[in-house]
Amino acid sequence: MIIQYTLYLKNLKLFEALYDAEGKSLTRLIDSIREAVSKGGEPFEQLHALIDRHRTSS
Amino acid sequence: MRAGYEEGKILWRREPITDFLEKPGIVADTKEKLGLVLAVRDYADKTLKMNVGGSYSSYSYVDRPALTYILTAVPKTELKPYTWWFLFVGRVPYKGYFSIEDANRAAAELQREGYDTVIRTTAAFSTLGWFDDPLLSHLLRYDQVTLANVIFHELLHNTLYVKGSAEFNESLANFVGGHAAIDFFRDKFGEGSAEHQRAVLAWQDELEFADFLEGVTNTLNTLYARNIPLEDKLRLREQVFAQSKSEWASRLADPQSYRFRNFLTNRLTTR
Repeated sequence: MIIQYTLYLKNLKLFEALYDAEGKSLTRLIDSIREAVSKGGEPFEQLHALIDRHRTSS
Repeated sequence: MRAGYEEGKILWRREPITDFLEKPGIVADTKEKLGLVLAVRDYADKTLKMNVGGSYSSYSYVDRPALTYILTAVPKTELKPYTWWFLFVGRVPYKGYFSIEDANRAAAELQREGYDTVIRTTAAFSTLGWFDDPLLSHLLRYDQVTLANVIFHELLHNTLYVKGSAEFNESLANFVGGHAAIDFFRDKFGEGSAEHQRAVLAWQDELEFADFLEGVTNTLNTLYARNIPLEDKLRLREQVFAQSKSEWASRLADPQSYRFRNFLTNRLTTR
């Protein structure tokens, strides 16, 4: 069943992009994701907004 | 009730890893892996600032062939999983059973309702920091890179968990597990060491399979959205599955690829 794989592999490229934006620091990545998802809403959408903010500020 | 009993048994059997290592007769491989677990735990705590608590400072022997049986169900022509709701974690697309008979009964019921089902086993789980999760004996069968990856993965759940967002939680934990293992083995054994290279290759495999799977799911979503009879969708999806397995098999011809071989052997549907 495909779902048993996709559960663990969704949007890995998005996480990679955020990881790069955070200087390849896992600590900073986790902190920034924690802050982004604390606002509520769909977490992947919050991460897309976060990466957009990174792109506009750089 | 059964879950509470089994979880209680696991917690009751915990003993500090440092005490366990002093027992006579512990085989060298076990000693080495338990030492690695403590080092991973320390790295997660001090370097990655994860919420480690007392997790993975203790060891618990599990006297069962599999820890839990995880049931997943999905409609036959939709990639949207059936979900269950639990108090602390919210809605999740899987349910764990401590008995294969209970899992089979639940799967049969869902199949009667028209779902495809799959039951898989798992060797680890997180109580999200509610308890100090011990290292379970099942995990010692893994190689060092996989073992470190799993522990970082589970500790990420203790550190950051969004209720009711299983795909997000598991994919983030997967990402952090893979990258933390790379960083850990680089720092412990050196850049380019055999262990570091294995962790890097494992993550590259993960990314390659994720990319491959995205293509498969796009193809299936397109098929399922077509305005054709159900029988045709079911017939055509079998072709998609067969083509996907064939393509993945050809990619695995690369001798460096060693993960996700089970995509070739696992059934992708129930009858």
